[in-house]
Amino acid sequence: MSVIRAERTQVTPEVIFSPLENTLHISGECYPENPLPFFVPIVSALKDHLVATKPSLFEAHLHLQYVNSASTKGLQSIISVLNDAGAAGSAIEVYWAHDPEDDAMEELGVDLVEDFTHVHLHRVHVAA
Amino acid sequence: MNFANFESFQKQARSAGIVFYHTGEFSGPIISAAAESLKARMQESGASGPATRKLFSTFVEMAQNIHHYASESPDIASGALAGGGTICVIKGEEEYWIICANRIETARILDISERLDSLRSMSLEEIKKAYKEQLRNSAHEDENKESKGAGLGWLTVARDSKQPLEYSFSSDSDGSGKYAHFLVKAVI
Repeated sequence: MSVIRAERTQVTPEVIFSPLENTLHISGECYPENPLPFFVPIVSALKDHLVATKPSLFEAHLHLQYVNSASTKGLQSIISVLNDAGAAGSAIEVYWAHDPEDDAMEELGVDLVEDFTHVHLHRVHVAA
Repeated sequence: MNFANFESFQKQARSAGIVFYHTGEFSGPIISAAAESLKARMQESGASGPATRKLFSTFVEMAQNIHHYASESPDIASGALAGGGTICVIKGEEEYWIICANRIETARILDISERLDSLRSMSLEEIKKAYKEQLRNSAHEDENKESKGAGLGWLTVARDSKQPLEYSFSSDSDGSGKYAHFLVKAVI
C-alpha cells in the first residue's frame, strides 16, 4: 500500500492519500503547466489500492480554490478510477468543497461527476 | 531611454490603468509568481472574490497558452518575442481588460479563427454546455497522453469574459510571412 503525502506547492494542492483509512484529501490550488507528473502517481496509487482491496467505503475530500483547464482531465481521471470502484461495489463518497460565491468551482464539481453514476457527490460550502 | 522618457512612459501606463504588463518568457515560475501577485493586488483593491478568480484564471490560461505555442514551435521562441509573448491587464471604470499577444505560425490562423469565431457566437449557457461536452470527450482520450488543456482553455477564458472574446491577427515584424502576431482580449 502506498501512502501519498504531498505538500502544497505554488501550483499544486496538498495531497493526502491514506489507503488504511480509505480517504483521499486534496486541497489548494491546482494549475501546473503540465499536470501529468502531479496526477499520474495519484491516479495509479488510487487505482491499485481500490482494485486490490475493494473497500466497502472510500471518501474523497476535494477542496480546490482554483483548477486550470489542463488539470481538469487529471481530476476526471481520479473520478473515473473512483467510479470503477463504485461499479465494483464500493460506496464512493466525493465531498466537493468550494466557496459558495464561486460558480465556476461549483459547476466544475457537478460537471466532473455528471457521467459517473457510481460516485456520490456531496457539495460542501466553505467560505474563501 | 533617459529618465524623462521613462517617467513619461510610467505616467502613461498609470493613466491608461495598466496594472500588469509582462513581455517575454512565460515559464511556470513566472506564471505562478505573476498570477499570485495579480491576485494579491486584486484583493487589496477590494475586487470581489469571483472577479479575482476570473482574472486569475484568465491570466493563467492565456499565459500557459503562450507557453504552449512557444514550446510547440521552437522557431517561435526566437525572434522579436523570444520565448513567448505579452500579457497586459488594464483596469477600466468597472471592469478589467486582459489582453494577450503572441507569435503563431501563419498556417494556424484559420484553425484558431474558426475556434474563436464559434466561441464568439455562443451564449454563456452554450459555452458551459460546450465545456461539458469537451470534458466528456477528453475522458475517453488516452490517460497518459500529455494534455494541452484538452481544448478547454479558450472555453474557460470565454466563460469568464463579460463580452465575447475579441481577437486579431497582424503580420509579424520578421516579414517572412511564416508568422503572425495573434492578440486576444477578454473583459472581466
